[in-house]
Parts: sequence; structure tokens; C-alpha cells
Amino acid sequence: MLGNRGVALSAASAIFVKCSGRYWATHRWQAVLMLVGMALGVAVVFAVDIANESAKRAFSLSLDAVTGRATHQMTGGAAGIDEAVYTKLRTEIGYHQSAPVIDGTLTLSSGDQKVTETLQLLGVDLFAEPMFRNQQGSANSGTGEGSARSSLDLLATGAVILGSSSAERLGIAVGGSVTVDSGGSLKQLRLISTVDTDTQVAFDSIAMVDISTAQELTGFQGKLSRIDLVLSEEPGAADVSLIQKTFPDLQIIEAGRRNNALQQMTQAFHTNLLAMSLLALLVGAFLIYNTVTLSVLQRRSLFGQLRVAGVRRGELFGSILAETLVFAVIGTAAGLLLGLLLGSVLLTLVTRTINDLYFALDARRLDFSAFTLLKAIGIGLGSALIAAIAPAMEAANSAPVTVIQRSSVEQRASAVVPLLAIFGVVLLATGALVLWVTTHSLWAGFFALFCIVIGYSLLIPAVLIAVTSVASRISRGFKTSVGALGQYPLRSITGSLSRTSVAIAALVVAVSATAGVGVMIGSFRLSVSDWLGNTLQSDLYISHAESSAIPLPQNLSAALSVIPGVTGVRGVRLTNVDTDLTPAKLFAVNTTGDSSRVYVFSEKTNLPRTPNGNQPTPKQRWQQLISTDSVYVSEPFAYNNKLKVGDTLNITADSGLKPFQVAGVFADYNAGKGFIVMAMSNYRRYWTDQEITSIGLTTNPELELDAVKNSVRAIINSYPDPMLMRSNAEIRKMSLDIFDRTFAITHVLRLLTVAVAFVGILSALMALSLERRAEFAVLRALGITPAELRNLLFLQTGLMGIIAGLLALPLGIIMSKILVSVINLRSFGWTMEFFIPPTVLLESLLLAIVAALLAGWYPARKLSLLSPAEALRHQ
Amino acid sequence: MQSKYIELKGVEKSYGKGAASQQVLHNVTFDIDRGECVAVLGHSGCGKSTLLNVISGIDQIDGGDISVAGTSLTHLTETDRTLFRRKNIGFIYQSFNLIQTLTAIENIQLPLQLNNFNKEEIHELANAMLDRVGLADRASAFPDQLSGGEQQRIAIARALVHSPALVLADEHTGNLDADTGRQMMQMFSELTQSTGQTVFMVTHSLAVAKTASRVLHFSNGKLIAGDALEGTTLAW
Repeated sequence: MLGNRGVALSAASAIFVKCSGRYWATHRWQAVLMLVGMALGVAVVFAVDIANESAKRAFSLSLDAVTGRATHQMTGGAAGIDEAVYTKLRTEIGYHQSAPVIDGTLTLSSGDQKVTETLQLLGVDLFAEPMFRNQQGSANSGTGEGSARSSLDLLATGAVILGSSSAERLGIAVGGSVTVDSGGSLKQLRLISTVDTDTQVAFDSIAMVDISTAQELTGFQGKLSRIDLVLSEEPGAADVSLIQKTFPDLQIIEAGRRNNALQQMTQAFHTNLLAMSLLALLVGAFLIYNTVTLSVLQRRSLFGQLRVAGVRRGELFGSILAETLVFAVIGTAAGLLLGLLLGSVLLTLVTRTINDLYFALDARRLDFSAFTLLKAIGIGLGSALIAAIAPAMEAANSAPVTVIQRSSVEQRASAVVPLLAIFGVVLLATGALVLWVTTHSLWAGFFALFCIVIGYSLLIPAVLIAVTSVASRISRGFKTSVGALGQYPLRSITGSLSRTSVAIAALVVAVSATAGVGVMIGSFRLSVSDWLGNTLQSDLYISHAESSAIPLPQNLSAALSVIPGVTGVRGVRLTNVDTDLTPAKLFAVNTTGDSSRVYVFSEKTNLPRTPNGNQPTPKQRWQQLISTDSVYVSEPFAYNNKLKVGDTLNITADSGLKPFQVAGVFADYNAGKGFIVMAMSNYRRYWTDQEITSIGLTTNPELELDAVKNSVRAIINSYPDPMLMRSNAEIRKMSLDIFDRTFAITHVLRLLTVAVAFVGILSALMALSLERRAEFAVLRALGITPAELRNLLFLQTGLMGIIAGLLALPLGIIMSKILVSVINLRSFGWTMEFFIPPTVLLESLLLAIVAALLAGWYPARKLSLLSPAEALRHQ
Repeated sequence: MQSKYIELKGVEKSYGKGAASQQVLHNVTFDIDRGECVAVLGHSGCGKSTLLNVISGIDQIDGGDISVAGTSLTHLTETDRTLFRRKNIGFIYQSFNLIQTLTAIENIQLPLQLNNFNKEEIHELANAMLDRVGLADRASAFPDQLSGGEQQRIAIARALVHSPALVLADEHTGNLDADTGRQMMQMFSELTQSTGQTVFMVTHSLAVAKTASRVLHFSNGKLIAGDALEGTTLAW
């Protein structure tokens, strides 16, 4: 008996395979679209994942390479450590497990200046290094004389070791020269060897020089960025407390803590990218669902005939799933390959953003874990199989006669609409509830966002029916009769709900994502622009060329103040400080004059208010900052540390922890963990440091700025330290350029999402046009010309686009509101104005219409060339 | 003297190319007078439907000439043939071919709208025709809510509503049971005779063919006889 069942099963499978093979052979475009849909869906998710993962891995390797085997690091803030500290550490304390380091960022150019690489500068003491890092030990001298020679060569002034890939991209061989931009002046470095980046991946992002060369390049003469330490846990060994006691002004932090802080800064950025990829996945899943469902629904007649011929339900169900699996395997494999290509493009954009915002990184190697690969495969195969289950079950479980009837599909689809709508409302309510209940969890924010997007999508079939019904009634009221032909395109949309609703839903999600992210970027840009306008109150800014944290010459302020046309000179000290919460950057600001309007306080946002609910005015806050031990903290700092106005923040001053009251939480869009602003008088009181790190000049508006700039330039050039002068407008433009580059990847992902939806619409329209060939043939027989038929179909696809576009706008606005007020706040601690640029909405609407019309062009053209006689003969 | 409304001269038509080519119409020549009701009787696959398609202009011939109402279809463009068909021809099919997404009344309104009747005329003529086929109470029903007989009545109403000079019917009772088919034929004959329309129908049903004033016998793409049906014995 079992044997007979086995024979019957294989016979049924063989018949299915034969029928299926012939079906796909005659519907090749549909097979291709299905594979393209699956491949695109998988590719977008895989590409974002590998770009994220590769950048993170390169970031981590780069940090590890810079940190080496150090367990702790001694740091002296932005001003660095006097190199005498290192000498004292080794001679007086006798602690030899230490290594001096200069780190920074270095921009190298090829001889012809066509290729530029921005790398992490690592200045090391060769004699102390073997304990810490071993990159130079594996260097290729290129001459075969071994690594010892190349290590010694590094001692020569201007010698550099690069990763082999960087050297290759710069087009220099060992012995060749590379140009370095050092604070505006160009210097030459000689490549003495390369490190094989196939084995030492981290060296992709590092330029290693001797410490004296690094000091010269960075302007850190006589100073060190940090001292790396390997602290033994053995009894009697020198420990943190001993070193700390000897050098009370310096901070000793665990090496991992510093790296973690850097990694956490970029985490939110990666999380946001992941969210964008999940959005693309959602659209991709819609597309895969749509194409698979269509392929099954279209062959209902064939399946019905197989059932009539005796193929059992289980056999049919299994065969449909097996066929879907075959497609899914091919589509997923193609998606993985496409994802690799796309991933390298995205990696460039991700790396650029990390470079702009956080850390010099040169990630070019695509890295992905087995989990990422399995996740992409799971998404491809899982979405396809899940999509196939419902129609396969329906085809297998229906009575053979009803399987053959086309109308039963639509009746069933219409019957499910209320259930979908109810489930949609439940999801929308869940999303709203999660947003209301949670305040800090980023993942809860994303969960709520996805609940709302999916819930809204499930409402689309019901809304489609309502919209077309209203439109139909309105059209009947027109004086000029729209009549049956006018009703036809509208009715065709709801008449094929099982096909059109999923395609429209995919387009709605894609376009709403475009609108939502567009509004978010627009709001963000406006907020950043306003913020820059408030923050940049001076006309000219002077800082050290290498870093805005390096002190400026003591008498520079005085020299600049006598320049004709300069009406004000304001010095600022930027330094790193530790607090009892998280480390931060501290701005000690000159308080002469009223600078209260520089800071935009965020009390109008949803950040916590003071306990009594009253907010002091900006002027009152400014007075508080000047006259008491108070600070302003930036929004990210306040948000991440759950600080509010009136709270006490303990900051490590020269004499130990010192309490300051939070007088204001101000808007700040710098990347990182946040800023603390303090009156210069307080800083001088609790810190012995008398340095300033940047100077802002206000000028007489009646005089030419260029004349003042020339005078300033002459003065700063007379100092040995390289200094940069930037105008208010230059800083503003540079900041907005970085902003735009940061969101370049978002634009790419938005386009990809729309491309995925476009394939969905095209696939649905092609399937519909195939199914309705006979109907179109009848219309042709009734006297509709080919051009009229084409226009009718264009009208229908245009209507689908308009409906999708209009439905996408509310979802887009909701999405943008969540992105602005929840996701950005929870990711970065930023709050911003919510601004809806009308152009973004209009563009989104047009995008939906154009996508639908483009998708409709080919099916419409094909149908207009249809031979009615042939279509009727095949009926 | 009666004018020749349809004239076919040496019409040739084949499908496919090369070795797979199959000739469907062989040197078909006949004519039909205005107001005449002619049936083409023949086996399935003998070329009857193709004959209907070439007369209506939805298919093109390979040789010979066809003229309808003095217009040679052979030399018209695709669009011109469509516009000619829109104005002059009504079609009835075996499988009704109603537009599923339009209601019964909207299906009937289609030809009127295509021929630029105004809103009032469309409303008036369509309702009158719906009333004449006895389905005034089913105006808002969609095709899948109607029985086979009702659907065919709507199809007939759609074919006749704009008063085309020529009505073409392709096995129009083929999907109906005998009683319904008979009723349908009776209604069809009454409607067309009252307006003096020329009717050209293809069928393999002797009963249907008997309602015509003249029968053309068709076999393997050839016209084998053209005569009144009296006394004819047919094997199918």
C-alpha cells in the first residue's frame, strides 16, 4: 500500500513538474520577475548587513591595532601629556611596560594628487613597541632584508609604514614618497615598507611612523597623545593606584573602555542603517509574497484540473511549496551575489560617514559572518515559503471546481479584507501603545514603527475598496458621463484585489519610507542649519590646524584684538573631562557679553522639565551659568545620562570631583556622547589650565571681511604652530556638506526600496494583463482601438499610482514623526523641529505615479498589440 | 434589387508559419444582402469562427477581399477597422464575454459610450434595452451574480443597443441548455427582425441554423453549399 502511495506520489510530482516546467517556459518574464523580486529583496538586506558588519569589523580591528596589547592608557585630555611624564614613568618608577603614542588623523595623497587616503596616524616608539603591537614585525621591506631592517628604517625622519592595500591605492612602492597634508602645509613621507593587509586587516586604516615624525606632523612637539600600559595582575607589580598617585593630573583608563565608548558612538548609526534595511526587507517581503502568490493564483485552473484528475491535496500542496523553494533558492543565490556588489557600494558610503563623524577608517574589505549569510538566506527562503503557504493551502483545500473558477479567488480575497483591517487596527494600536509606554529603548521604537507600518499596510485593501467606491460615486455625478469606460479602470483595481492590493501596499510602504525619511532629513537639516546659525555667532574662527583641542599660543588673543575691524575676541577652551556619569567634551566659554541666545534650550521638546514645571528664561540661565557653579549640557549627554535641569553633575576637576548644577539642556547635533558648557571663570577656578583652543572674532560689518581675514592670516602665520582660520560661512557650508554626505546612503536605500516596489507593481500588472487578455480582446472586438486600450491601461496604472501615493503620504508623515521624535532621540539624543517640506510630499506622490506608469508601460504596450482574434481563440 | 451588404471574394486565411502552417479558409466567396439572416453551419474547427473574425475585421485575411457596407476591410488600417466595427457591428459570443468588473447596465452602456452618445441617450437606450431583454431588475448585478441565460441576454443587449447594421453571433446558444437556448433564439430573432439588422451567425446546431433565412455549409475551411435549410440532413 505504501509502495502504491509512493508510486502515486512520484507520478503526481512528475505530472506537476512537467506542467509547471511548461508553464514557466511560456511565462518566462514572470519567472524572471519573480527571481528579480526575490533577488532584490535579499540583496538589499544582505548588502546593508555586510556594509554594516564590514565597517564595524574594520573599526574594531583598527581600534585594536591602535590599542594593541595595552591594558590601560594614560591620557591628559586634548592637550596631551608632556613627554617628560614618560621618562619619569620609566626612570623614577621603573615601569617599563609602557609605550608612548601619538595618534591622530593623516591625509595622504599620491604623487599626482589624484588619490587621497585618510588614515589613522600611529606614532610609536620602536624600542617600546614590541611589548604592545607587532605590525612592524610582519612588514615587507620589499627588499628581502627582513623586518628588523625595516623597523630600524622607521627611525629616520619622514619614514612611514603603510598597509599594502593603501600603498597600492596610492600607487607608491617601497622607497617611494607620499604627500601629507600637515596643518595646511604639504610634507613628504617615504614609504619604507608595507604590511600585508591580507593577513593584518587592521593596517588597511593605519599609517605608522616614528613618534618624533608624528610629533612633527601633528604639532605635538614635546607631547604625547597617550601612554599605553600593560599592568600586571601579579602581586607586587605596579598598579593603577601607584601610577595615578605619581601622576594625579593624568587619567588612567582601561583601554577597552575607550574603545567601547568609540564603538557605542557608531552603534546608533549602524542601528539606523539596519532599520532602513529592515524597511527594505518589508517591501522585499511584500514583493516576494506578491510574486509567489500571483504565480500560484494564476495556475488555479491547472491545479483544479490536476485535482480533478486525481492528484491529492497533500501532493499538490507539497509540489507547490517545492516549486517555490526551487525559485527561492535561485532567487536567494542571485540576491546574495547582488548583495555583495551592492554591499561594496554601501560600504564606501558607510565608511565615508564614519570618517566624517567619528573616526578615520578605510574599510574596503567585505566581511560578513555566517549569521549574516544565514539571515539573508532565511529571509529569501522564508518569505517565499510563507508567501506560498496560504495560496498553496487554498489551492489544495478547495473543491476542484471552485479552484478552476477565477471569481472564487476574488470572493475569498474580499472576505478576508475585514479581518485584515481589524488586525491592522490592532497592530496600529500596539505600535502607539509601545511608543507611549517606552521612553528610552531604541528597539522598542523600531518595533512600534514596524507595527505601525505593517498595520497600516493591512488596512490598504479595505481603504482601496472604500476609495474606489467613493471615486466611482463621484465620477457618476460628473456632467459629462464618465460612464462604463470611466468606471472600468477603477473597478479593475478592486475586481482583482488579490493581485492589486499587495502590489499597491508594497508601493505605499516604499513611497512612505521615501517620504518619511525625506521629511526626517528635511527637519534634521533645518534644525542643524538653525543650530549652526545660533551657535556660530562670530565671523571668524581660529583653531589649531591639527585638532580643535590643541591649545593656541598664549598671546594670540591679544594680537588679534588690535586688528582694525575686529570688534570682539572670544576665547574658548575645549577639553575632555571625566564625570561621575560618562566622559564628555567640555567647552569653557568666555562670558563677556550676553551669549544667552547661542544656546537653544530644548524645554519645548519632550525632555524632562524641572520639578516645578517652570522654565527660566535664557538670560536667567546665562546669569546662572556665569555666577554659580552651573553648566549647560547638550541634549545627547542629558538624554544618555537621564539628566535634567536642576540635577547635579560631578565633573573631575584638578582637585577631584566637583559638583555643578545643570542650568540648561541645549540642542546640539555634534556626533558623539555630548558636551558640557561651563563659564571660563569657573573653569579657571577649578582647573589650573590657562590655555584656550579656539578664538572667535566678531568684525565690523561695515568693513570688508577679506581685509580683516588678510590681517588675521598675517598674524597666525607669524606663529610656528599651524593654525586654521575659517569664516562663519565656511564652517556652515562644511557642516552642511558633511550632513548631506551622511545621508547619501539613506538616499541610495530609499531608491532601492522604490526599485523593489517597482518590480512588485510591474509583476502584478504583467500577471493581470495576462489573465485579462480575453477581456481586453472583447473590448477590442467591441470597438476600442489599440491606442484607446493602451490609454485605458495607463489610466488604471496611473490611478494605482495616485492611490498608492496618496495612501503613502499619511504613513510617511507618521513615519517621519516617529523617526524625528522617537528614533533620532533614542539613537543620538537629538531633538529637532518637525518640518514637512511640501516638495518632499509632492515628490513622493509623483514618485508613486511615475513608478506605476513606468511599470504599466510595458504591459500596456504589449496588450495594445494584442491580436483580439488570437486571444479569443485561446479563451 | 437588394444591395449586397457583405461580400467575400476568394478569401484565404491560414495560421502558423512554414510546416506548421494550417490553412483555415480556402477561397471563400459569398455575399449577404442587407437585412438578411444567414447561418454558417459546420463542425467544430472547420473555420466558422475565423470567418466571423475576418468579417468583423478583428482578424486579417491573407488573400482575397472582404467588403462590408461597401467598405473594403482589406485595405483599412487596424484603427480604422476598429472604428468601423465600433459603429457598424455588434458581437455575441458563446461564452458571453461580459466585462466582469462592470454591472449589467454598464456592460450594455459600453458600445453607446464608445459611439459618443450623450449621457441622457446612454441612460435611456441602455435601460430600454435592458427592459427589452427582461432584466430591468438586474441592472446593478455583476456578471458573476447572473445565470448563464441572464448573462447571454445582457450580451445580446450589449450587441444590439447601439443599433449596429450587422450583428455577428458565434455559437451564442452553445453554453445554454436547450430551453434557454430556444428562448434566447426567439428573443434574438424578434429583436433583429424588428430593426431590419443583418445577422450573420455561426453554429453547429441545426436548430439554431433553422432560424436563419439562409444557411451556408462549411467544412474544412471551404464553403460546400449555400442554400435554405429545408430538406437538409446533417450528420452532426
